[in-house]
Amino acid sequence: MSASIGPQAPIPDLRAGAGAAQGGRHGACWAIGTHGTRQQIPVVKRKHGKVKSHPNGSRRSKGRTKMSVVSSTFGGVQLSADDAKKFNDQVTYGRPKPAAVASFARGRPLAKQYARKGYAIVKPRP
Amino acid sequence: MAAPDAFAIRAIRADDALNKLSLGKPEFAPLKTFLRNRALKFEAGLLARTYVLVASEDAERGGRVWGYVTLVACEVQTTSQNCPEDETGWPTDLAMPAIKLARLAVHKELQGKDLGTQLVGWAMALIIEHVACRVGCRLLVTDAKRGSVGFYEKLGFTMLDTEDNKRRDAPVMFVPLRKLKPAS
Repeated sequence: MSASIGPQAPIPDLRAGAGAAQGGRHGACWAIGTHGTRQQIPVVKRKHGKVKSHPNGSRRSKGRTKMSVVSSTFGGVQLSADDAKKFNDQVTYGRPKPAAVASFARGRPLAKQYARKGYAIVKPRP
Repeated sequence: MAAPDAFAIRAIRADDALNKLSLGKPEFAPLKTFLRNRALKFEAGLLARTYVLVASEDAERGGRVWGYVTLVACEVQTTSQNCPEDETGWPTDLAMPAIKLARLAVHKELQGKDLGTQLVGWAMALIIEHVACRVGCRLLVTDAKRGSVGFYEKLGFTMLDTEDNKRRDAPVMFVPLRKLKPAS
């Protein structure tokens, strides 16, 4: 169960874990986003009802707004809240950009050459 | 030493000269440090694969490195409560397998000469034609430095279009690979 997000929605209890008590697999809590919107942020509930961490592995600190994008150079990408929804929409319904098609087309002969010889030859633009 | 006329893209070797790469800006220092100190270790540990640009005559022997790209397997994990299954039936609250373009660098004298473009194009084709056809892999992802966002957009990367992402020092950009794959 999750509460609706809308202009009429009351601002719920912001204490850590208060949202988790409202139910759901991961539960949910509320925060005021950095751009002034209310965001629903899932939290993990411990056995004793205390918030341990966000499912993306980051520690939540009291009173600090959390980014909903977490990505490290050699790690995965974790998205929550609006970013997750937007990402899923973009991946599901979006089409590849013509520039991506062109990049792929440019790279195909190089990949073929690499597979055959173990290297691919490229030249810089003069 | 003048830059060569032609380059080879190949896997990094232990006898490559890794310490002559100059990128021109202090903010690129981590890219040099990675190449010098970590790339071979990560390679040996199967943690990341690095492919280097060397003079074409060094294609089959150690040589000076003029640029490189590093690729690593990763996943995109979404934790939204309102994500339906996508059109392939993949529940979108599961992680999506992806490849991350973790590092990309080209020597300062060669920047703006399409070598970065060719490295990314080669990587994209390699992933689609040689990785995604054998191992599930839905996306090519990168954390683009702010100054490089335009470069990646020209190559067809899409910016994750949210305020949080746009505010990051290195916003997440991606290319969905499935619809790029030619019909087999």
